[in-house]
Amino acid sequence: MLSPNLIFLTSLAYVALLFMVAFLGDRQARSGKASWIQSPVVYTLSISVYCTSWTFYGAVGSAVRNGLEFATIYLGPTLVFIGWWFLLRKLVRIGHMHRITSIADLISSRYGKSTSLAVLVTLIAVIGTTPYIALQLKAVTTSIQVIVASDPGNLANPPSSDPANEMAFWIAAGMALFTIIFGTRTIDANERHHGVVAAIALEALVKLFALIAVGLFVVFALADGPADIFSRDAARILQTEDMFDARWIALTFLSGIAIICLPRQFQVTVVENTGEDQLRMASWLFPLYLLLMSLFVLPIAIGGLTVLPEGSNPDMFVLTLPMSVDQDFLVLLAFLGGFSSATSMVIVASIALSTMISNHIVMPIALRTPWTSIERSGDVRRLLLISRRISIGFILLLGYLYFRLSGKSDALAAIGLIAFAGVAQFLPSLLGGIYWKRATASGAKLGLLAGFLLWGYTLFLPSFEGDLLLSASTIEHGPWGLELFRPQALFGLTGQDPLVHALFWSLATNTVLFIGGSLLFEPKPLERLQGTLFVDVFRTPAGDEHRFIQRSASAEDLFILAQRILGSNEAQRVFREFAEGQGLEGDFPQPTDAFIAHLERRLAGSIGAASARAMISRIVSGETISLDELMRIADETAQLMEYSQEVEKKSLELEATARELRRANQRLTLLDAQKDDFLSQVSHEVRTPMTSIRSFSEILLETRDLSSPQSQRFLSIIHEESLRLTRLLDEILDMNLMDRGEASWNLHELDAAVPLIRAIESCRGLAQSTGSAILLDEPLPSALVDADPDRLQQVVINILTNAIKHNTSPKPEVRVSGKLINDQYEIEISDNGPGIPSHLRPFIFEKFQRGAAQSSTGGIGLGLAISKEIMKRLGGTLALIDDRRIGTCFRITLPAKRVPPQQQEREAG
Amino acid sequence: MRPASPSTAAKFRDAAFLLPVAGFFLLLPPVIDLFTARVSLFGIPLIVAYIFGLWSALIAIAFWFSNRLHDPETHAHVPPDTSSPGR
Repeated sequence: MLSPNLIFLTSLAYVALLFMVAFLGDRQARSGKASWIQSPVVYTLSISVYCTSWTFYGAVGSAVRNGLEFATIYLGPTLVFIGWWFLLRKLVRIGHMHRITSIADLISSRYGKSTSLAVLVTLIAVIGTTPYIALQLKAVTTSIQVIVASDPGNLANPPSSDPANEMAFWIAAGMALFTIIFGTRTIDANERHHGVVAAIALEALVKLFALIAVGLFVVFALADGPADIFSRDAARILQTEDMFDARWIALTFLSGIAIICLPRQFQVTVVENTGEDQLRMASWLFPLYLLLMSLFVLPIAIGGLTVLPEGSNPDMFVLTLPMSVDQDFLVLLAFLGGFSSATSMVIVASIALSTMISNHIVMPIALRTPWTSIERSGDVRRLLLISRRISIGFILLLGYLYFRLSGKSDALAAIGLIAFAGVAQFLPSLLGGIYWKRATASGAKLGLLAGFLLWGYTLFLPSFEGDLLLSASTIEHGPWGLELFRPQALFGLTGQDPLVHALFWSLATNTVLFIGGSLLFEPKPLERLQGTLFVDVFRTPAGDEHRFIQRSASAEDLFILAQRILGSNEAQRVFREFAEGQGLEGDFPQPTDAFIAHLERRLAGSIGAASARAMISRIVSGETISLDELMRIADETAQLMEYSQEVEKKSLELEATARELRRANQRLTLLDAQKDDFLSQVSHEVRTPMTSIRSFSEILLETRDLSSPQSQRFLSIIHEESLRLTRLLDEILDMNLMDRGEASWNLHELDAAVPLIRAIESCRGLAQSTGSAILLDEPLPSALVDADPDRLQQVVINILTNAIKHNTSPKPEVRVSGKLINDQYEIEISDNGPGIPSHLRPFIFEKFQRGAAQSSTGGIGLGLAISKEIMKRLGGTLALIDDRRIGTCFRITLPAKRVPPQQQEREAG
Repeated sequence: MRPASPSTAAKFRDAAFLLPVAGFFLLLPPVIDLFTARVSLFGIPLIVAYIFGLWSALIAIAFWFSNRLHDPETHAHVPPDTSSPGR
């Protein structure tokens, strides 16, 4: 048996621990050391604020009443999270880009930063969340009462509610205090609360651990394993026959909506998110958390039904089961688990709601009062902080009042589902806003308002059973006896579960009006702009905003404004950073459109998009939104979307073709240049002999008394020059003929060594004149080849001549070797000259290439090209061997036919 | 871990879209009605085993996908000005 004091002290110690964690988390985040707070695991754990005391205690109650239905509440979020890539990721990205502070901010920002829409969403959120907070208060007070007041025999009777009211009040006050201390310490630039997130993550672990501990205790201590538990009366609980009906579908769907639309879920999932990698892990870890939380619900329910006395409150089985066997430690743990679930929900929900109230209700009102009043009252930040603190108190007070009003409703789950259905009204505007550019504020307002009113009429008010606005007879028979308007059978829709009925009418009307309104009313320019930025968030950077909005303001005015909202240090930092980005020195940037847009986004991170825009609008002048530009970008992105695949493919093909073309073009340009070079070279070569022939013949013609030896000399020069000219023209002709395949060939079988040796001999003269040596490594082998001996000789002479002429080494030598490899006759001619520069190597066989000719030796560089062509004709090759460090080496190969006859004879003999 | 080719990444994105759809389909009637027979698997009622088994499978697949999903922007996004000579 646990004493009240022990419960009280334990709770106090636990809260102190939370304080410490929150404090440490806050401090570490501030000093920038808190990597663990931003880890995906902590993020995931903070999302588990979804599992409130409604899960911790209520899931078992729900399982007892409706069997497997409890699972839908966790299956819906599971489906949303495993599909994170498509919805949550987009929400998070939009949240980052536009510095969204709450779900009301998102919807208002999307629909042209509309203040009225923000107010509407805030009101719905507050009304929808109040019962939920009441539910948490109820769960905690009931759990304390159960532990303190009951002996096991008394478990069946619910305790009286008078002391509960007082207790609930103090619990609410305590939660408000905690939330105010850690939720509103500062106006964070991004509306993030690291300390709170850390505390919530700890609470998530405590509740998971507690529920699993109780579950394991039930399965393995009270029963004999899972099979034993399920053998006891499981069929009655499971009710499988009529379980999977419209309600099952509706609940799965509804819980999927709730995980996105609940203000506190939006807060932890989108606003507190610091990076997409967090979401990446949460996509599977959060569903896993939900699975673990649900795993023992059925066993505990069955255990409670079979172990505890008839009539025990199934919502408290998690506590009463360990109590019934006096497991004090387990009871305490279960109590802390429930306490954690309740407190974490209340803290996050009230932070989210207070942000919404201060940004979307208090700020607009403050802005409507003349501007000077804010100026005189000092800091906007202080106004915000104070309004947030008051809002938190107000929200918890509302929750407490609701708790007192609806004290008699026993089922926890019903209240939770009412809240779900309320916030589900955000869904059409939210989804439409991020996937449909045409969605307008008018449509969103119409849909939200209608959906909200229908929800109130068909679900929320009837839940009071006649105590609030609608009398019991109205609920039963419709207003003024009009049966057609019965709240729970609207327009004669009977035979449906009240929740399914309400959900159908509210969401259907909401969606139809949203779509209809959007189609009927033209969007304002700013709505159009925001629509494009939101829907195409993965394509359009937020920084693009300034392309569309042109405004002007003075940097001083902007600074005064920023200082009021961000505080002077932060404002200075923002201004200085932007000035640096603009390449300016000093503290003030140029007040360009880009800067105004940037500043507006920064302010939106603190006070919401609508208020930020309103404040900026007061000091800017000449605001115009360029519709043309907007249309252009919208068209651009739409086309991009449609054709991106095609464009990708096409552009790849294009790129390849362009590469080909570029290469061909380069080659053509090169060839063209070579041809030009060639022509000028040829002209030059022709011109030189022509000039000397002309001048000498002129001398001969004009000078009568020329001595015979002199005229003889002149004539011989003329002769030589004309021979040179002929040779040159022959060479060009030869090349041309060979190009066209018309050269004359005299092919016959011969010993390859013969023309080779002849060529070497004919070069010896030249070699001697330059002082170089031609070295023959070994006697050349004999082999029969099909060749034109003169042509072959021409090739070898050409290469040898080059090797001798271009050799600048002090002791020039040319080395010739021949081999017979397989059926190839191979000749290598190498020298110890300077070699061919590597950049010329690829071109030396090109026609018109005069790389070699640029040296003093003259020639027009056709020799190698002709030689290569000859070898090709002979079926062989001529190649430059690349592996030499010194000198140049050419290799000539020719297919050998067979061993020459004399060698055969030798072998035979 | 980055998938080798854009088409693999695209496959994962398509599969990631189908995963919640498939999960929804398998959890709703009429599919779920196939598992309402009053039989037990190792002492666990079939419907309980089905729901929790499917749930675990969805989580496992989501885990497998989680690090294989990547933005198409890095390869598929082609800026409109492909005409610039540098490209």
